[in-house]
Order: sequence, then structure tokens, then C-alpha cells
Amino acid sequence: MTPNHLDEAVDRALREIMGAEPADDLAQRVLREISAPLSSWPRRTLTLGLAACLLLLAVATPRILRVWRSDSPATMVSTRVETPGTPERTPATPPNAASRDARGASGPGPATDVAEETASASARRVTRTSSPAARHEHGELPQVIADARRTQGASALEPGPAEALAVEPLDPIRPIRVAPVIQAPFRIDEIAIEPLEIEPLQVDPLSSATQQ
Amino acid sequence: MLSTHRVTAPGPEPPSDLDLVRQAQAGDTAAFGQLVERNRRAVFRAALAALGNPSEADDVTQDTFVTAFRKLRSFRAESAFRTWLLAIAWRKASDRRKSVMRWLRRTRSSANSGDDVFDVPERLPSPAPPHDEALAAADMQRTVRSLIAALPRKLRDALLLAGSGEYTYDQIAVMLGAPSGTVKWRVSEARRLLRAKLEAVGYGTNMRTAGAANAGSPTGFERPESNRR
Repeated sequence: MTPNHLDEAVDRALREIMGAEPADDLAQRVLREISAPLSSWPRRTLTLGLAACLLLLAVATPRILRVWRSDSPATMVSTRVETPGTPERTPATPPNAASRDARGASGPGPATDVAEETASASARRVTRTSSPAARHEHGELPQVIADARRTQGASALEPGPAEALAVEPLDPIRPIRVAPVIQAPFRIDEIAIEPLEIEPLQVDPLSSATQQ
Repeated sequence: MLSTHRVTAPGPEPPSDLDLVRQAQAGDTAAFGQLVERNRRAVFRAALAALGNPSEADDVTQDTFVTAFRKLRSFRAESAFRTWLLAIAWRKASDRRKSVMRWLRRTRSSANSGDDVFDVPERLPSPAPPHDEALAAADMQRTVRSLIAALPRKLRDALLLAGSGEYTYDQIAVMLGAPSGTVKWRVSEARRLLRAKLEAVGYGTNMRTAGAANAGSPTGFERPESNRR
């Protein structure tokens, strides 16, 4: 077989491969498609809808994650270990609190700092003083803590009027009756000890007068 | 030199592509329908060369015409309408060829597809003895098809487009985004590779008798006049 014959064999194969014909109704299909401008409507709508969903997800995911982290059991336990009256935050304090502290130095101003500090202190007190049993007993407490922390996060992200608004829902949390329950045993002990310490003091002036 | 064709041809001349494009740009969908009829085979075969599957090529052809209609206002007649159309078709076919979904579908059905024009239903045959000429020719065609499918993509694209007989080298160059000289070299290189591989699998000089036997037969390897370049 000569090279010429091989070329002819290739040509024949090419004709077979490329010899297929388009469908007869192609022109009709095309005209139908271009005559119906709404035919591409669902595709466009789906594309736009998908893009909008992705955008919403991208915006909402950080907030969702922040709330989820603040409600996680690890955060609850580590926050509960805090000693009463300790002004420092525990490492388990939400990261936005640290950023808020950093921002406070050169932040929006003294009034805003006070508002933020009040809000964070209220939230800390509630978290610190409520035992798991109390939280179960008052079923609203975890929700209150979540709301407080969510408000903290919102105030950290949106300085200005949002911070002032963030304080308002936290104020009613202060008189929660859980705090006296925890403090009560310590006060009773102090009352029991104090009379014992006072008695020798009453003796001292007499002895000193005798000596004089 | 005067043309006798013009004197003897009855009736008005059909409108040119450009005339139809102008009418379609003015909103005449029937004019665009004529453009579709004139160019559908060229567009279809370009898509077929890229995809190797008539069904997918049909989808791409339809998509190409719809896209062309929507972008018709941007057509400035800087090139021929067919060239512009073929560029759109090739881009769409290439995108489809790269798509992940197509790759997954091909992978899933690679065992028993049989849809693609490159598919070879049997294993690569060894050269058949010349006692049955038709069988030997069919075996050889299967071999050539499988070898064409195995060519590097750039060489195969150029070879298939040139071998379809639908396009000029300039049109192929626009489609492939390569200079016309490069396209010619690719076609020539593809043919050289195919010859070498055919000789390597036994269709070389030792098959001279088969070639001689096929020379005068209707199913032989005579190259038709329409395909000579």
C-alpha cells in the first residue's frame, strides 16, 4: 500500500467522521427559541437567585458562627470558672470583646466606652453567677446570655447608635435573683464570725484602763 | 471576461449574507431563519469536530445561533458573517468540551457509549488478509478512526476541520485562533503522524497487494474530486 493510498484512507475516515448532518428542524428550533424572549427567563432567574443566596450566606456566616461559638458548652464552662469580682476577662471571652477593648482606647468616645463596659459587665455577671442548675431552672437564661452576647457582637461591629440600643435590653438583667443566692452563704459566715471578733475588743479597753 | 451564467440565470439573485444580517438586525426573524439554513451545516460540523458527538454538536449548533441572534447588533461586518458565526460556534464547543459535566458523563459511559464518531466498537484490528476486500477496508477504517481520535488535540482539530471540506484555511485559523500557516502545518503534521502510525500497525508497504486490489473497486480508497485540495 503506497503513501497515497494511506492518505486516501485517511480522507475517507475524515469524511465518515465529519459526514454527519444537522437535524432538519434546527432552524425551526432556533426561531422558536429567539421568538420567545421569556425562554431564557428561568435560567436567568435561577442564576440571579443563586447569586443572591451566595451573597446572603457570605454576609451572614460570620455572625452565625459568632453566635454559635458563644453558645457552645466550652465557652459556658470556662466563663463559669471566673471568680466573683475579678475584673479581667477570661480567655474564653468572645473575640469581639478583645477587639472592642482594643478599639476602646481610640474608639468612639467615653460615653460609648461606658455603655460598652456596662453591657459587657452585665453580660459577664449573668454568665458568672448563674449555675447550670439555675440556667435550667430559669429556662430563659441561656437565651438571655445569647442575646447579650449577640448584642455585644453587634455593638462591636456597628459603632454608634447601635451601641446605645445594645445597653437597653441588658439593664433589666442586673436584678436577676441568682446573684443573691450565690452571695448569701458568704454573708451568713461573716455574720457568724463577727461577734466572736468583737468580744475581745470590748475587753481591751477595760484592761488598758486597769493598767492606766 | 463576460460571464454567460449571469445572462442565463433566471430570477433575482438571492440576498447575500450581509443583506440578511441587516434585515435580521432590523428585527426580521425570517431573514435570520435563512441565515440559519445557509450556515447550519458549517456550524454543526465545527461543533462536531470539537466534540465528536452529533447529539452534543446539535445542542451547540442551536445555542450558537441563538447567541448569534442576541449579539447580532454587535456584528460590524468587519469579517464575513459565517466566519463570525464559526468563531462563536467553536468557542461554545470548546467550552462544552472543557466542562466538568461532560467529562463526568464521558467517564461514566466510556465503557459502552458508541455515540461519539470516534468510538471504535472493536479492538484495534491487525491487517486483514486480502481475501475479503470489504472486511479489510472496514478494518482499516476503524484503525484510522481510532488513530485520528488518539492524535494530539491541536492536530486533530485542524485535521478534522480541514477534512470536513466546509471551511477555508482562513476560517479555520479564525476558529482555532492560530495563523493560517500554523493551521496548514498542523494538518500536514497530523497526516504525517497518521501515515507513520498506519505503517507501524502493518498498513505499510507489506499491504501493497491489498491496495492494488482496492484500487479499482467502488469501495476502494479513491479520493473523490470534491475533497481534493
